Amino acid sequence: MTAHVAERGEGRGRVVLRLTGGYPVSERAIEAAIKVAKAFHSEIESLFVADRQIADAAGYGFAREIGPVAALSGKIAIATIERELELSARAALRRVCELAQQADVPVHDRFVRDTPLGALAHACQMAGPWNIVVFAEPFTIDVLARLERVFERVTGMTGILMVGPRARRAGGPVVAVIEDIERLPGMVRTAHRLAAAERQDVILAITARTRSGQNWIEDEVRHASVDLSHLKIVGLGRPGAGTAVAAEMLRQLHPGLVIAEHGGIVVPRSGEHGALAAALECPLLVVR
Amino acid sequence: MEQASEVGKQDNSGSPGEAGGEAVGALDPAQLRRTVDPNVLGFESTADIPAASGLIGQDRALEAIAFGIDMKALDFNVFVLGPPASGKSTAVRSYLGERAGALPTPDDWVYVNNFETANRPRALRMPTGRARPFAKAMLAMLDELSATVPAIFDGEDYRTRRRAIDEAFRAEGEEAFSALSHKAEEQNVAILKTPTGFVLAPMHDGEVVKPDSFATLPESYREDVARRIAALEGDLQVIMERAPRAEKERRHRLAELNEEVARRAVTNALDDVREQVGDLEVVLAHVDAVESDLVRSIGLFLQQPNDEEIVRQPLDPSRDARFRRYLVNVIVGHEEMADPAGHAGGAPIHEELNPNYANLIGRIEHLAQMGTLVTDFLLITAGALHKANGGFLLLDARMLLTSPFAWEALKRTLKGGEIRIEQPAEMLGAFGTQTLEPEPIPLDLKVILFGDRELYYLLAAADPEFSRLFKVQADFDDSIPRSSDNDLAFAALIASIVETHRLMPVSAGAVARLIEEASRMADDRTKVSIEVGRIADLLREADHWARQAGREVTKTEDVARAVEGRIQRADRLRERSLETIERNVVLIDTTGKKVGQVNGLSVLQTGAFAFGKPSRISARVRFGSGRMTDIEREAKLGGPLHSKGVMILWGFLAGRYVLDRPLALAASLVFEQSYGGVEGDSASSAELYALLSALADAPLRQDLAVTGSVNQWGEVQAIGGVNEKIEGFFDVCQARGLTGKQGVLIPEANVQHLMLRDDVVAAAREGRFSIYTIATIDQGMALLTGIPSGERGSDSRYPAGSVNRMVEDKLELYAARASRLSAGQGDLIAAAEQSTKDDSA
Repeated sequence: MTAHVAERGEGRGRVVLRLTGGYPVSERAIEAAIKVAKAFHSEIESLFVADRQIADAAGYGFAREIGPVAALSGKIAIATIERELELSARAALRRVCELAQQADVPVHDRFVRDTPLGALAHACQMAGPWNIVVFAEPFTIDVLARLERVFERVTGMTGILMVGPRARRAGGPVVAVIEDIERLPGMVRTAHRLAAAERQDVILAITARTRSGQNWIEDEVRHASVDLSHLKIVGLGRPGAGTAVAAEMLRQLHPGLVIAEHGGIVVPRSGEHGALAAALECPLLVVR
Repeated sequence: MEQASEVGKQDNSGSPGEAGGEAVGALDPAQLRRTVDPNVLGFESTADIPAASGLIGQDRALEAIAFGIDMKALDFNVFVLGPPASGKSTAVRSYLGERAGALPTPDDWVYVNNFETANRPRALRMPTGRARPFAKAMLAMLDELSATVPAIFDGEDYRTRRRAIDEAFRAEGEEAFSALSHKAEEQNVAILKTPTGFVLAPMHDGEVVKPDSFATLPESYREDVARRIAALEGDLQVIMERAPRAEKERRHRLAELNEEVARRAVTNALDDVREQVGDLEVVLAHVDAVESDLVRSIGLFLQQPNDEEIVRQPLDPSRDARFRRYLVNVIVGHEEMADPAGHAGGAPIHEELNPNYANLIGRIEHLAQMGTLVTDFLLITAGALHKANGGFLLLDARMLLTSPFAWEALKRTLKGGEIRIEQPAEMLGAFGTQTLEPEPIPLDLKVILFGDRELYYLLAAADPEFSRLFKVQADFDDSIPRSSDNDLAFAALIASIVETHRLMPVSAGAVARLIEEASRMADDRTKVSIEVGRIADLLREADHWARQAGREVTKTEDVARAVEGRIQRADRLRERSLETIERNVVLIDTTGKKVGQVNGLSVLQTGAFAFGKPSRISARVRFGSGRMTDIEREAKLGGPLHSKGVMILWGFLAGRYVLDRPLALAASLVFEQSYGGVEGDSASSAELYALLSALADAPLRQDLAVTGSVNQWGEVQAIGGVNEKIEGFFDVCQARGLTGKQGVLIPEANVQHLMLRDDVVAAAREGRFSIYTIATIDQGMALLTGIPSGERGSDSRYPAGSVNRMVEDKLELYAARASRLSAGQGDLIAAAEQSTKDDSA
């Protein structure tokens, strides 16, 4: 599937911005959601999820809330937690609305009590399949490690947009990581569309696990039937060097957005995700 | 209006007051004006002669100034006194210009921020001409940092090192949490995020088990789960408590990194500055302080511009308020006085034309920001004392004294030996908000005050500190003696005025005429005025008329026209006065004879113009108890000097006539048709003539006018304004037609002051008007009555028929009458004597 989001009014998809109570909201993530929505003439559904499992956990007599220091740890005060979640939701949704209005992007907001994954799956099922999900909180290596599960559970989406803990840049070329020649046309189209909205360049970053594989992909790219004008093609480091090298090479391109497939070298299904989290200074759009 | 009349001097032959009234002849016309022969000047025009380099004839004053300058102490300042517009300032500047050139150029001074106490800016001394380059270097340093710092902190090197630190701490925390998360997952325990922490609960298929369902599980299993969760909670607590400590350590490591990078950038940027001021220990210390502060505040260079700015400007340290503390305020910079090689160009000479407090001491300006007045060391501005420090400060004393706080501030500065900038409100304790206390700057200068003599003596009397601080008095003369040498010096002065004002050359004839006018200004034919301002004004007017006439050289007639023009512009009152006499509104006889009536002369001053006018003075006498009534005094129109003059008359009468008996006389004296005040004793001779005429019953000539004061012996003494007085009577006579008999009696001592108008001299030369010099009252009476005054003979009597005899006879008559009355009516006489005593008291 190609990363794509349906246009507003189609009822087949939108940018689903998931805000989860308890996690800090990244302004860069909200901006990225808005840019994607604008590029695809789509709209944003701002989905604030209050994890209902916290209430379940509070039902256990032995369960405690662990605070930053021992003195703040203790019995779960569910009423307090819920009030704080509600206040966080209001603040987050208001901020999203402000930024979306400034960009002239329609935004709908919802507050749901569900599991974070369940809420997302449900929201994408209601209007899909052309959704792009945006995680409002900066990703951690733990999140990257669990992407597999997200792709499994949330079927009505074409990609997940995330920002890392070091995200600071929103401007710059759109870098599409090509690890599979079959994805080339879709990747190029998506990259072009996202770049055009910001009047940015597109860079095709080719990587493979072997030298020959990389040469073959590059050869194919150059002979592909897609319009390669206004494109820059680069190799993403030494073939087979792994995620850490690829991540560092990506950083050195100073991208404004990286598009990569899930399960490849850059975003592996499992393994070392720390290097990507440390290196990536821009939003990352992970496609199936 | 001031009136004064004049007198002459006695013939010293014979005993004083006993002169007989010998015949008096009219003065030779050549004595009425001292002219200059242009041919003896030895040049055709001022273009042929060198201009005077300074003042002429002021050796004493210039020596005093030289002494004051050479005395190094701060209390040997100079007060230059002399008449206004006498060229004092120009001369002193010119003189100082020569001296100052040989003196060393003083150091520069700058104010910089005090990084320890911001409201006490530091004053730094720098060698001549190095302050502004230092200020520029500091600004360039900031410019460099504004470009390099963002680049350095955005550079790969810094970011890599920073990322390494971040990653070390982040990964440590994240990995620990991730491991715990995996462990919990393996044990079917969910970790849920709450707004303030985490909650752990039993999990099945990725979701938290409902407590109801959990309750159905075997108790042993539930206890096991609870134990496992408690253990995980303990691990989680450890991880979470480690996070703040790790964050603190991370920030510390980052701060060290930032400081290291910043110091490298700042030190590099300050290299040029240090090279420039490496020999100046105090300045280097300031640069060190700047370096420390810059390193601490390096974030200033990394702040992003405001997103709301319409046009994003690059960082501009010279305008950005955040960088003001690193800038340099050059309070005194002498680079313009140094040549390109850095050699000094002499000491400064600064003349402050508006010596108010702020212009003198300097000021601390304020800016209004958000309704508040704020200030900093860059808003300190130099005063005249700063600009003149190391040299000479020229001030007008009157302006200084009339500026609030200025005089006191100057004295305080001279006494303290340092320039301390304080707001006047602070001195009064009226300034509540915090302001600056700039470090004082050591003082080393000479103050040269300019003022008139009156002001000097007033200050010396009223302010004890004045004499202590201004120990040198440079007294400028307003005239010099006339001589052939000084005539040439005066011509050189004219040439310098021509040069200064870019006038046309002046012909020798015009110079001669100007010398004559300068003599007239000096009121003395033996002197010439050197009041440069007045002479320059006259010359500029003459130049104007010469240009109007299309001439290329200013000639005699141009000077004459300028003189006439000045008189014409100012003589409205004179014309009105003359008109009232012509129309007999004011009664003045210019022909015939009258008893007890004489023409006195007075001078009216209207601004810079003075003119003379005749006044009728009359006297009446009768038998009485010995009292002289000065009607002017009785009417409170007479000034003290005038009253003194009248009282002297009584002394004259008492000392000359009827020596063995009391004067049984009652007399009254008055200035007829005088409605203003009368001051001065120059009419006393005229009053005496009128009195004697009345006593002798001898008529006085009305075609003559009289001026001069008199003493108790009948000697006629010199008076002022003799030329104006003569010309005043001449104008009246000329208007009525000169008869050839008219003239003026002046004191003999005033001959040296005669510089009469050309038309008066011409009339005298043609025998139509005469000037007589009088030494004694007897001479004057003889001339006025045509009767000899007479001298006492061996019989102690005056000759029969003489004026003095007639006067004495009248007084003896009165005395005899008084004796008779005294014998018959003792009480009456006693009462009359008592009345006289009361009047005297």
